[in-house]
Formats: sequence, C-alpha cells, structure tokens
Amino acid sequence: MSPSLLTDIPPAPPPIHSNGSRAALADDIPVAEIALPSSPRPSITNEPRPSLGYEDVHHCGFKLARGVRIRPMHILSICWRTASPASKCVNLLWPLVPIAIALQYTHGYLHLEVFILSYLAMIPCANLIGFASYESTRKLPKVLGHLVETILASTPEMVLLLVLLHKKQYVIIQAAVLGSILATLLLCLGLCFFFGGLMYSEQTFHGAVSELGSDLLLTAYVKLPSLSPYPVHFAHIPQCNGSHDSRCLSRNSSIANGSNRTRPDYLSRHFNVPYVRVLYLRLLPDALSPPPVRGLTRI
Amino acid sequence: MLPTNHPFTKIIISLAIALTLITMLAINLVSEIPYIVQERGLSESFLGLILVPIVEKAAEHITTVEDACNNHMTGALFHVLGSTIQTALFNTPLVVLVGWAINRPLDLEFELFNLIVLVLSILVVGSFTRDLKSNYLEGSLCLIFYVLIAVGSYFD
Repeated sequence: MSPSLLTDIPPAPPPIHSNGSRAALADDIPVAEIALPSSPRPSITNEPRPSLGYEDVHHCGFKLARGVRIRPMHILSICWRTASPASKCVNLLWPLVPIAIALQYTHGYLHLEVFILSYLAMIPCANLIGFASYESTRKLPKVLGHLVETILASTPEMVLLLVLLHKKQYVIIQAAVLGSILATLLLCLGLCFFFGGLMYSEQTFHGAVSELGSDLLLTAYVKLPSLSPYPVHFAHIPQCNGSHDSRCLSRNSSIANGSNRTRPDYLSRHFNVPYVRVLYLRLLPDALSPPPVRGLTRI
Repeated sequence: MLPTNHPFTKIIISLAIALTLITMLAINLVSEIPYIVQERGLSESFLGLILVPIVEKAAEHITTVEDACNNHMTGALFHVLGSTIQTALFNTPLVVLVGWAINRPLDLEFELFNLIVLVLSILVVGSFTRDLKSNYLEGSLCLIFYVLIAVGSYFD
C-alpha cells in the first residue's frame, strides 16, 4: 500500500463486535482490529509523509482533519457495512419514503397504495430515530442516556397517537394503546426468545429484570381497567351518563394515574406520579452506585 | 469514524429529519384509515390492535432482537419492559390530556376482549420470565399466542 493511504481510514470493514452492529462508529477501536491480515499495520513512525494540511493525530494513530469533512458516500458505506442483517433490510426501504410522500400529493385517489407505502416507509425513519438515540446514549452519562433512549424510542408511537387523536379515530387509539403493549410483550419477547434460543440453546437474564416484569407490570396494568367505567356500571348508579362519566374518570385518572382520588394532593394532580416513581426507582440503583475509585489499581 | 468537532450535531440533524418524515408519513397513513375500514372492510380493532402498533414499534423490536441474538438478554428484556412501562404510564395519559386540551372526547373505555387478552398476556410473560432462563420454545409459544390474538381480532 502506498504511504498516502495510511493517513486515510482503511478500506477494510471493521469486524462486528460482541455488542452488535454499531462497532464501526465507536471511537475506541484498537488499531489491530481494523487492519486486514494481508495489509501492513498503519505505523506511527516518524517517516516523512506528504503534508495534507492535517494537524492532530487521533489516538488510534490516524490523522484528523481540521474542521468537518462530510463525505456522503463514505457515511453511506459505513452505515451499510456495519448494519446487522435486519437493519440492512430496513435500510433498503429508504427509497420508499419520497415515493410515499409524493404519491399522497399527486395521486391521492390511490388509497390502498398510499396506505401500504406509508406503512412501509415509516420503518426506516423509526430506525433512524433509534440509531440516533443509541448514539446519544454513548455521549451522555449513563442514567440520563437510558432515560433519553427510552423516551426517544417511543417518539414514533407518540407521534402516531397524537395524529390519530387529531383525526378523531378514538376506537383505534384505544386499540393501539393496548395493542402496543401486547406487541411489545408478546411479539417482541417471543422473537427475542425464539431467535436467541436458536442461536444459543439457553439464555439467562438478571433477576431484577424479571422482578420488574412480573410484579410491576401486573400492578401497573391492573390499574388500566380500573380507569374504565366498568366499576361504575357494575354499581348500577341510575343517573350514570356513560360517556361523560368515563371521560371524567379517564381524565382524572390520567392526572392522578391510579393514586387515591379521594385525597388529591398537589403532587398527584400536577405530576404524573407513578411514571416518575418508576423512573426514579429504576434509575436510583444506578444513581446510588459509587463512582469508580481511581488510583487504587497499582499494586 | 468521522472526524467531526460537533458530536451532537449529527444526532440532532438526523433526529430532526426523521421526526419530520415520520410526522408526514403518519398523517398520510391516518388519512387513509377511513377508506380502509369502509371500502376494504378491515375491522377497526384489527387495524388498531395489530397493524398500527407494529409500525410504531418495528424499529425498536429490531434493536431488541439484535441484542437478544448477541446474548445480551438482560438488555433486551430491559428494552421490552421499559417500552411497555413507557407506553402505559406516559403515552396513554399524555394522549388523554392532550385530547382534553384540544377538545377531543377521548376516554379509556377499552373493549373487554382487549383488556382480558392484555391481562392474560402479562400473566403468561410473567410466568415465562420467572425462572430466569429462556429458550426457543417459550418464544414460539409467545408468538403463537400473538397470532391467535391477531386472528381473533381480524374476525371481529
């Protein structure tokens, strides 16, 4: 290889690490993992190189350019090479996005085609949001990163629910809320266990997660039916106006979210208390863990 | 490894682009729903229970299955449970409160079939995760349960 190529990022695709497909954009890949066995290692010796206007040296031995150099084809090739097979198939759907948007405004009478194309075109956009949230967790502190990732990952869902609300599709919103819980619990978990079980014969997981799953979920979702007016109907109150009462119940319960409605305090009226409580409980062990002690490893 | 001085710039740019595209596509999708329900005869409960959540959660499911295939089952389960808690405790009250603010009468009077199926699925998942081990049989049972619910809501 000519010496000028040693200053550029080598063309060999980096291997996929044990933590999945995002390894190539990490900044901490050691030099040995990137070079192919047949190509010489990029050396950090002081041999004369053609000056290309670079100043700093990256910690892996590559020279950094001043300023921002955006190379779109390089970005696209990195994204393609480092994506897992499923993400690659999703990235193949990107051309559908402008087609779906254009079709709505030109041939608006093709309802079924617009529906199907918009359906398929939402998937790569949601994948991009997931990728951006993953990248942000790598830059933020651990606790805040998990919080940001969880909120950002459910952004497509929030957008879709709010758009459904604006278009007055109430039956579909109610079904979508329960359906998304069902899809995550059954479909996602089933796929995880199934494909994980095909690759490894048996997988174990930490007890804290299973405790969160069984106990907390059951108590959280037993509250959801209590937000509906079935208890009111069963009490046979004669002047019960079904829809108005159910709306008041739902609104008050959404504010208080399962806390005692007969004793409304400021906190439960103005903050979504159980969500905040669950977040704090989940994040508290991380927040209370002692910071790593430096300087004691020398023996 | 892109040399850049602004690590957050690409995150914010990609988020902005993705959010804009998702909003436009969601508006397109929802405006075709009345046609699908009336002309093509698809039941609203199937549309809302199965089709809409899949398009919401597809990307997140892909990330979670990747984690599971790389033997990080704890992380995958963390994503799953975090997402369900986020939906139930944040998204649902958000939608009700926003509906209250913009004068749309949304209430949480769910259909009985959906509620019963939800509680049963939580019991099933709770019993599968109790023994701290997983294999492909448990996964296939969850998937079969989901397919049964989908078929049941299709013929509503």
